[in-house]
Amino acid sequence: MTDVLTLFGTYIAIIITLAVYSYIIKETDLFRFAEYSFLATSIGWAILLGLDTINNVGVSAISKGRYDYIIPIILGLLLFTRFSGKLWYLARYPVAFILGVGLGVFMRGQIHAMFLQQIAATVITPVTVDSLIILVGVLSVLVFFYFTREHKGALGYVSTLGRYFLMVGFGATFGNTVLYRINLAVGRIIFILRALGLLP
Amino acid sequence: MTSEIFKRKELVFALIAFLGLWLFLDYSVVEPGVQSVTADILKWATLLGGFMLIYGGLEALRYHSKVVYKKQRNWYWSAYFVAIVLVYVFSGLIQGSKGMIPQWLFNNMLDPASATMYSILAFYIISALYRTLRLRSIELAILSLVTIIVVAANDPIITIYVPQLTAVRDWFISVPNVGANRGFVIGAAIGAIFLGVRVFLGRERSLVR
Amino acid sequence: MGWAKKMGEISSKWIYILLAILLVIPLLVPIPLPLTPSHYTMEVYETIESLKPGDNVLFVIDTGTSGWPALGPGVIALVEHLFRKDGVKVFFVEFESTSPPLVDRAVAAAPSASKKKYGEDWIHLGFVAGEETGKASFAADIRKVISVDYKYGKPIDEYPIMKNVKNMNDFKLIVEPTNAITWMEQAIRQWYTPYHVPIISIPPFLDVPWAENYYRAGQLKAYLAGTSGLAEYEKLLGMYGDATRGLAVMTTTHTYAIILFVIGNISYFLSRRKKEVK
Repeated sequence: MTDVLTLFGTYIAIIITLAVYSYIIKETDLFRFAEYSFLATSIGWAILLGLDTINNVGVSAISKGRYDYIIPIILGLLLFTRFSGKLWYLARYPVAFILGVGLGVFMRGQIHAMFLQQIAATVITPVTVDSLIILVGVLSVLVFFYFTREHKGALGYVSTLGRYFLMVGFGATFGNTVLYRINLAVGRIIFILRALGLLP
Repeated sequence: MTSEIFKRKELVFALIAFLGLWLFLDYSVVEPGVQSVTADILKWATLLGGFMLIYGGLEALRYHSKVVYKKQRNWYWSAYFVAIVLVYVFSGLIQGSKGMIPQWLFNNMLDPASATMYSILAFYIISALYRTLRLRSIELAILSLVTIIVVAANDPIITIYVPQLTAVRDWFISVPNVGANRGFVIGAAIGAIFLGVRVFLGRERSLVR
Repeated sequence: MGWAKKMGEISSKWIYILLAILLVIPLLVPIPLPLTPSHYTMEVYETIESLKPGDNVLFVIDTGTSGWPALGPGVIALVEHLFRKDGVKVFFVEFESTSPPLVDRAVAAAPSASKKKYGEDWIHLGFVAGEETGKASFAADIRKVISVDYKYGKPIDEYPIMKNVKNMNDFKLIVEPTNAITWMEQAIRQWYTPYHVPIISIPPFLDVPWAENYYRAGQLKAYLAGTSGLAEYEKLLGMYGDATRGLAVMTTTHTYAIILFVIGNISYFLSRRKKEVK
């Protein structure tokens, strides 16, 4: 029975893979089947994960005597007041809690890691041609994103240089995107060929 | 009267600002009491993250159920959607998320669909490379040439005959690209810091509907 | 010169069909290609080689099912390498929601996994919700966000491996393959910056330019770059995996991309010259 289910599952997986690729030719009901299967299973999986999280984090804490964890559970339940016509405003509070915590956590990391450490890495470095090019790149890109004044004269030239540096960055990203997307396709094709017994 | 108080956005902004500042300042405070409270706040937020996952799922279910109920366009696909979600969730509740049915649905529907959706872009990327990368202006020329150097350096056969390409690609990625990238990251960090300050001061009204 | 214009207007249908053929043929007819590990690959390899018995490694699989086809071979190679190190303990955790079942997949594909005992040499802690907040919470106190393991649902304190592990300070190394640069940035903000635990990553290849920035800034210890990086790593371990298998496809498809680029630009310039002459 398990073998039959496994085999059936493999065929469904192959059909879904080919159904998604069929979109390249035309959007058909086959693609819609794959699309809705993806959406439905993602939602189902997300709901199960959410329930597991509540059980493992909240319910287990309460069962160990931490009754203060009833507060976040009540806050979480308030989220669902969004479905009600009269009490929808209560759903703002759990969202505000997550926003506030997320913002604080993000900000403390952002200042140190993405601002100070990045500046330090640019400035506190042995002076070489490469490090000078990096410094010029950083400054010119920052000028490019400075929109308070019009980019005229010297500011305009520096901003244009920043744009050229950004084009190098985008070019490198685009070139690597070709590699990545093709690799993803290779992974799926390996799966199909393996399922059909054409690859070990 | 109480409901009028809770309807006020100022209370919401105050909560966001208080929690944001607490977490932000906790970084520099080594007082064990404060850090213990912070650890609990973080845990509460993780727990709320679980509720968010469920809320998002229920919102999608609600939308598609309405489509089925009102027999709107493509309602049969919405019916299929609702059926699969309910099968997934109920089988998961009975068997656990690692049960046979949830795992079968994950391995044979979610995984292949999700993986293939991202890989389909391979075809569009090649088409975009062919149709849009033209040496039309200085900017496009820089973009196109760097792209082609990176693509060529990622091609094993070309790098056998032109091994210097790898060094050229690596130089582009580790010098001018790092300059651009770092400027981008620092600029985005400045923007994020100012946005955070606006939120702490309660001046960012767009956060709450 | 109508043919010049036509050169730039090849139907998408033919472009896709030829690409599909170039994707499949090299997989069916393997082309062996020489591989010399780059310094990026060697740095990852030597970092793991330098681990000593008793060191704890946090393995964060954030590739998700969407990134697994490209990054999976690298994940399997890293898991295999870690399992070859005697006495090194591996802790699996995920912050991306579709990643939890991928741990079983990675461990099942690693040949050295059979010599390792669950609960003593490795453990699967499971999914933590909340993304960056979850990472911060996990780093501060693991037991605040994880009470049971993912594999068996037993309290984590019942496993010997968890005995002296409380928070991020107890880890020697973080390995984080990801399907988006944002996951790596979160790890840098919430783990590397406050706790200074070094991070090795497999970034999605399109984010290698971003990863290079963090690597140059010292915020990322090392990373595996691209298919060749993953294939080089397999070679260092003596494995023939999907990364090596897929390398030949890079040859055909990338050469195809370059030819299309050249054809498109020749067509553009010839058509433009004709317009100017008119």
